[in-house]
This record gives sequence, structure tokens and C-alpha cells, in this order.
Amino acid sequence: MANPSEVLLDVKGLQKRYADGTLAVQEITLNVRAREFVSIVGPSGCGKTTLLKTICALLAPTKGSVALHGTLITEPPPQMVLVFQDYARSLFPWLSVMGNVVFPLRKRKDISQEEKEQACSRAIAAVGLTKFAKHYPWQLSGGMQQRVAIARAVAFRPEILLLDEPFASVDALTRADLEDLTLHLRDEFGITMLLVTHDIDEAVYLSDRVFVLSTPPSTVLEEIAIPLKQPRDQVRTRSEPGFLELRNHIHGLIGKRQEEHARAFTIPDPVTPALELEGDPVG
Amino acid sequence: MRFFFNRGNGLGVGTVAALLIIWELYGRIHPTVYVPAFSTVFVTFIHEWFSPTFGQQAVPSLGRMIIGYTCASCIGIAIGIFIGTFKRLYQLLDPVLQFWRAIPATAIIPVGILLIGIGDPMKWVVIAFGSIWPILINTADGARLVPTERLDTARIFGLSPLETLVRVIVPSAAPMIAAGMRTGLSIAFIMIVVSEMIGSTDGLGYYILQAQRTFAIPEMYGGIALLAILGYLLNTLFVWCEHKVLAWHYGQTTRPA
Amino acid sequence: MQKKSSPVNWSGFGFFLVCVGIVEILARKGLLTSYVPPPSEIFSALWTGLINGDISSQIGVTLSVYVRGLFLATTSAIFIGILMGTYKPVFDSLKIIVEFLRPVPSVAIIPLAILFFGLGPTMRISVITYAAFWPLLINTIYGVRAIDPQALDVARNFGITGGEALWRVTLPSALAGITTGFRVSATIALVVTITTELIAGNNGVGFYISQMEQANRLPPMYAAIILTGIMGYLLNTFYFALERRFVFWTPAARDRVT
Repeated sequence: MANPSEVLLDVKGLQKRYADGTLAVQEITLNVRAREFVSIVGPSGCGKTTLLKTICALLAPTKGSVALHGTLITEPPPQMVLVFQDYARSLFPWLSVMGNVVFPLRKRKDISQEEKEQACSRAIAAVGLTKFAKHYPWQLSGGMQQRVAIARAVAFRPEILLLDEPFASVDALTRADLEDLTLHLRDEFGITMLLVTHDIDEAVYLSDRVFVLSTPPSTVLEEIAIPLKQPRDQVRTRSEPGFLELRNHIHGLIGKRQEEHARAFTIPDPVTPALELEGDPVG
Repeated sequence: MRFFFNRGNGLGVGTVAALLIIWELYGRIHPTVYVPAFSTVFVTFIHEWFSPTFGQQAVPSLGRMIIGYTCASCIGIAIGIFIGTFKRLYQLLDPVLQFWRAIPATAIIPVGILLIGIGDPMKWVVIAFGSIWPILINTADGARLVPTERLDTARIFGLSPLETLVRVIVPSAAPMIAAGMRTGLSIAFIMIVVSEMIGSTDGLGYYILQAQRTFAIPEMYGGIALLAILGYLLNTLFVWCEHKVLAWHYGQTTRPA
Repeated sequence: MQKKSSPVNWSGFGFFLVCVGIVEILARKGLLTSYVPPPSEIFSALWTGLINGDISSQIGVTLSVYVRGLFLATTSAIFIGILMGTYKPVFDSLKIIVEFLRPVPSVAIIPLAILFFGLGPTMRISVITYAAFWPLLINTIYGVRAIDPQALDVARNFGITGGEALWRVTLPSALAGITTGFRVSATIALVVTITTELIAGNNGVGFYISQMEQANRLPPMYAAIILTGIMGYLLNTFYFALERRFVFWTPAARDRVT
């Protein structure tokens, strides 16, 4: 377990340019400390997904570096797991909930079978799906499927969890539940959280710090500390005066920039190459 | 097909029964060589096919078909997974594959006869050639269309390329592979019949054509009926297996069979 | 969404030509069996055959039979398919017959057709019709069934019922399923045309193939085989273009990349 204020993830001067030349991420510098909850907020199309994928080393940065515990990352490290926005496409429909959650642990030799099963049961219990362990993902609602994805990530015992707009595809009520779930997971399992979202309220509610991104090609506009009281509560926190101030501030930052961009700038999502023949992953 | 005793099936059965009755009456009132009565055909059918003839004609056909189809499946799936995963390879081979696929498989039979002669190996090759295309192409498509999120997930959790292939790509592509295999099965069935009509001394295709040539008309109808039944059974068997293996897929999508 | 790196597949075509080149060299050196002539000879046989009419006359025969068979199949399948898809009693009466006749391979019908029609275009047309009928029928039924029930409700609201509804609402909505079925049927129709000519024809491209095989004239035989592939490809492209033009709202016509 790392020191509470040690820098876990260090992103310096990250730039990502696609193969066709479009600049998705211009220059991003940010860091995440152990056990922190950090959010990245930005307008749509500012390359947030690309950013997360590059941090996770699924894509290679054009410039800049990503370091975990001070070591540079070139391959997705086992201490880091990414949870996708589209849970339906990332879960395996041919496996049950338990099957999905235990899947990443299959080949780990350093844990015994019992420990694996325990970790999975614990993760499934933590997301509240114990009754559905034998069900198949497609038998569950959207929110429940996202919980399966989160349980799968948590059972893998990563140090840091990257979440790519994980609650964008669920309804508002479910979203509130899932938000609290992530806070709870951070407290129970000690996992550091890096969340990307376009929902400013969500970012302010959940985080210790928020990084605000500009319109594409994105840079960090501002780093904002969120000193709201812990533990967070959906009703109490959201009605604190500090909450409104912070969210309005961020709204103002993003809104201004969006006006400056008269037309919507949409960057196509890069197609992740599947096992390219040559070594270098292309944009 | 499970028969529920409701009005819907009653209509269906009734129509079939009515047609059979008309056939019988026509055969009895206007006996011609071309249309024997249904009962004659039925009797001949039982007589022919519940006898050594089945072993002599039908079994070789089925055997050849199974060999050709199995080869086509194994090769088709292997190559399909391979080119579906490596997109550059797919691009490279695409025109060549489209070229071979465009040629009607039956047109290859004369070439087969020239190169391999008339015999079982020719039929295996010709059947394999015909049925491999839907299998290969569907497999490649299935492998290509694995959601990137799944492949990313595999990388995030540190799966090796081989593990990703076996544990992520193949199961993801399985529904499309099954669809290709089903089409391939029908094609294999057609290919065995045609190859036996053109170049063979035994087999169902030969039997039917020969029956027509020697004006053994009830036998000819009987042979056609047997082909229909075999085709239906093969298809049903395949669908049954498919539903067992791909139960998870059928649970999530209501696909029209 | 797949981003193509270039619209034309240069590497693919290049590879194709390389393969042809290799076959050419191997065949000329006699390393391939004598039954596989060099591609250049095949190509020149194709060219000559097209110009002097040996092959081109057969194309006409084949296409004429193909078109007639496909037309019969299409009209009857769409008609019966719409009836079966719309009216449950019709569906119920016919479904068992369909289930049992459908798996009969069309080639098995050939001796039956020879019996009734002898060797000639009628025999071939009947087999083609039989073969092309089923996929289109099934797809039409599915197309009709897949119609958004709201569409019919809206029509009724405007006073459109019965036969007019069939023509103006059901048919266009089912068109997506019908066009898919048509493409499958058309492909089958061509294959069956060639096959019947191969087995028991007295003219046509398929017959030409078997004739050349028996006369041991290999380059024209291969030329005709490749020609069938080309015909299939061209027809398919033609149907896709038609589909895009007339049924442009269906997803199949919309995201067709090639």
C-alpha cells in the first residue's frame, strides 16, 4: 500500500496524434496520488477516451510520458485497469457474471485458487450482485452490467482504476448508485480512481481533485482541488455552497472555450489495432 | 419441429394431407409414367431404403460429404481466424479470396475430374472447395468484428496473443462461424449430389439420375424424397448442436432460425 | 467504424497479380500438371472465345435462361411470401410444405425436370425457379413480419386498408428483407443455371465447360469457368447498385463499403 501522498501516476507533457495527422491531445500534464479520486472533465470530443487509452498504454503517445510509481509505462501494467463506457461490448457474453469476474485472474500464478475465488466473491459482493453470480451479463440491466465490469476490475486488485465515462450509458438514478459505489470501493479496497466524465456535477461530487480540459486539441485548463467534506453524500454534498461554486466555476471555464469553437469539432474514435503484424501500434 | 395440437398446425397438416390425397387419386385415375401414385412411391421408398441399398448408395454419399465438409471447416476456420485477426493480411488476400469465391463451386467439378479423376478424393476436394468459402469468410468477418473493447480488455489484463485468440476472439466469432458452417453444410450437400451426378458410379446423386435414365420412376421419386429427408435431418442436427454450444448467444439475441 | 487506409486495395490487387504471375511461370516451366495451362493461355482463350462468338453466344443462352427462371421465382416468391407473412391462415396451411420442400437440393430436382421437360431451356428454367424460390420466399416472409406494426396503424388512421395497404405500406416496408432475399436468390440462380447446363445441358456456358473438358481443350474450359465467376461478380455488383438506388433507406444499402 503506497504512501497516502505519494504520486502514483505521473503524466507529463502527453501528446497523441492519430495516424491521419489529427491532433487529439495536445499537451496534458497531470498526476494522481495514492488513494486519491481524480476526475478529468472536458467538453465532448476533446479526446478524453484517447487520453485514458494512452495513459493505460493501449495507445502509444506521440510525445510525453506516463509513469507509474516512477517507472515509465509502455505496456498496460497489471496495477492499472481501465473500465470502458460501453460495458456491453467489453463483457464476455459467453461467460456468467462469475465467469467474467474470474476471467482476468485465470492465469495469475501468484495467487492460489481459493484466493482467486475469494477475491471474486468479495468483488461481486462489493458491487451488490451476489445473487446474480450465475446469471449472464445480457440478462442484467445496464447498470448491473457496468457493475460486473467494475467487479471484474476490482477482483484483479489493481492499484489504480481508470474509468472512461462509466456512467454515461445508464439512467440518472442508477448513476447516483454507481457513483457512490465507486467511492465505497475506493474506501474498502484502497484503489486509486481516475475518472473521465463530461458530467461536471459528477466530477465535483466524487473527486478530491479535478482537471479541466480544453476543447480539442486538448490541454489542461486548470487543476482544481475539491475540499468538500468527506464522506460524500448525494443530498448533503450537492447542496453545500462550495459545491455550487466549484461546479459553476468549471462550467464557466468549459463554456467559454466551447463558444470559442464555433463549430463542433468531433474527433473519430481511433480503431485499436488488433495484434498488428509489426511491432509499433499505429494510431 | 414439435407438433402442438392447435389450429395452426391443423391447417398445415390438413393441407399436406389434402395434397397427398390428390396426388394418390391422380396417380390412380391417370396413371402415367411420370406421376405414379403416392402409394407406389411410398412403397418403393420403404422397399428401397430399408434395405442394403441404403448402405450401398446413401452411406457413401454421406461419408464423402462428411469428409469434405470437415476438411473445409477445419481449414476454413483456421484460415478465417487468422486473416480476421490480422487486418493487413485480410486486405492482402481479399481480391484472391473474392476471385475464388465468385466461381460457382459446381463449375470446378470438371477441373476436379481432370486433375484427380473420378473417385472419392475428387469428391472430397470438390465438396471442400465449395463449402469452404462461407465458412472462411464468415469466420474472418467474425474475427474482424470482435469489439475493440474486448480486445483492449484482454490487453489490459495481460493476456498473451495466443490466449486472446483462443479465449476472446474465437468465442466472440463463434456465432458467425456457426452461420458460415450452416451455409457450408447446405453447399456440401449440394456438391455431393452434383459430383455424383457428373462423375460417379455410386452414390445418391448417381442413383437418382440413373433411375431417371432407366425410367425407374418410383425409385427416382424415392431417391429425391430420401435426399430431402437427409437434408432436413442434417440441418436439424446442426441447428440442435449449434443451440447447445451457442446457448449464450441465443439467449441474448432472438435470431430467426 | 472502420477507416479504410486507401479506397483502392493496391496491396491486395498486387498480391493477386503476383500469384497469377507465379502460376504463369510454374505452368510454363512444366512444373504444374499438364492439366493446368498458364494463365496467359487461359486469358487469350477467353478473349478469342468472346470475340469469335464461341463463348459469347453461350453467355446469351445462359443469361436468357437465368433471367426467365429468376423472374418466375421472384414474382411467385414475393407474391406468396407477402400472403404468408400477412395472413396467418395462409402461413399455417403452407408452412409444413415449405419446411419439407425447402431442404430438397435443387440439383436433385434435375432428373425430375428432365423427365417432364426433356433437355432444353424449359427444364433448366424450372430447376432455376425451384432453387431461387425458397430463399426469396423466406426472406419475404421475414421482411413482412418485421414491419413495424405502427406503420400499418398509421396507414389505417389515414383510411388505407386492405389491398392498398398491402401495396403501399407492406410491400415497401418489407423491401429490405426482399432485396436481401433477392440477392441470395440471384446468386443461387446463376449457380444452378451453370450446374444444370453442366449436368444435362445442350447449350450455355456450363455446357461449354463440360464440352471443352471432354474435348480436352483446357484453356477454353478454364476460360469459361472464370467467366462464370466474372458473370457472378458483375451481376452482384449490378444488384447492389440497384439496391442502393431504389431501396436506399435500408441499412444494407447504406453502409456498404465496397
